[in-house]
Amino acid sequence: MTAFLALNNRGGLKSFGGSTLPAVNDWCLTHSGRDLLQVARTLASRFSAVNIAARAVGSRDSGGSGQLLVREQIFQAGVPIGTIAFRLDPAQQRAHLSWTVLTPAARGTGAFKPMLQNLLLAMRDCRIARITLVAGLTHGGYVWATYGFLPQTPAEWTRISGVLRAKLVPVTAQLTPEQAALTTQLLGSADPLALRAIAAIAVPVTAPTGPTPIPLGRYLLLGSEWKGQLELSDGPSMLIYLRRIGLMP
Amino acid sequence: MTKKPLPTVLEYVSAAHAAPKRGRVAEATPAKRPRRRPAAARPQMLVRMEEVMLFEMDANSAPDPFTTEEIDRIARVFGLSTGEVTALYRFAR
Repeated sequence: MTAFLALNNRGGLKSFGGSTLPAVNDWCLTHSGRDLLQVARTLASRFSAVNIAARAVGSRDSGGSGQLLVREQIFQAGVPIGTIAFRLDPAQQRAHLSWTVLTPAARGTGAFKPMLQNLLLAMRDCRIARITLVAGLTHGGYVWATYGFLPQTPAEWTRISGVLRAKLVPVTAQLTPEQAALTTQLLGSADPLALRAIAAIAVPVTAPTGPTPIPLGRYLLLGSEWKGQLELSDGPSMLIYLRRIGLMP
Repeated sequence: MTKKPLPTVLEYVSAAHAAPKRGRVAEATPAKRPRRRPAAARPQMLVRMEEVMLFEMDANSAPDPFTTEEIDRIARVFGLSTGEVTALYRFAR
């Protein structure tokens, strides 16, 4: 059974329940030094209300790692604007961003920025050192690269670089020999940072499926899927992320 | 257990002052229109956050996904010359 908590920033705590509520509360007190209500307040900051469903799994008593699975529905002015699902694993100092969806009401409002800011604050309280995710589907492969995420391991970069090399072939004729050689050279690098170097390439190319030219970096990474991470101790990556989510100018 | 009333029992008792219903003209009433649910209760079409992030990136920010400092850092890490950086990242648009 999952613990539930509905928090309304105007009217205060609305409701809570679930047989595992004490376990989730204990988890929050142990790992963040704050109770579930305070954690919920952090996640609800700058929004009108949140509905939180959480479950502590693999308790430390049973020899597990003591993770907290959270699904959070966010409301603004009484209208649901998005749902975010994540997992906190303080033993590994890792948080995994599982998925996030937004409603049309959140489009063009920049509401995802405070969502990610609140999440970062909650992670900081749990002494999380890195955020992981699977960058994929249509846009994720490119978007998360521009948010400072890099492949989790050199092996993961090697895998994705092979995919990108194959995707480069149909548009090579649109590049100068120098641009093609440099792109191939970056794709052949063993350093996962090469993913960012690829994402930054601004040379316009026309994709075989699209009529309008787009930057080569975007063309290569859109539609790709890779396991990414953001090391919170990696200054340059963190700077990119903080700027993107609006915590730094 | 209840017992079904016998036919001798009066099922309907009408008030003495009530007008007879017989001969009443049936009125055509419009079908009841379903009440529109409030926006919060209506099912919403959800979109991945990445789609919105890309949309807002295109709408709000500069065309380059990274700052000049980050491009310079990338160039240092991969040993790219100024000419090579220009070829990939800073060519005349």
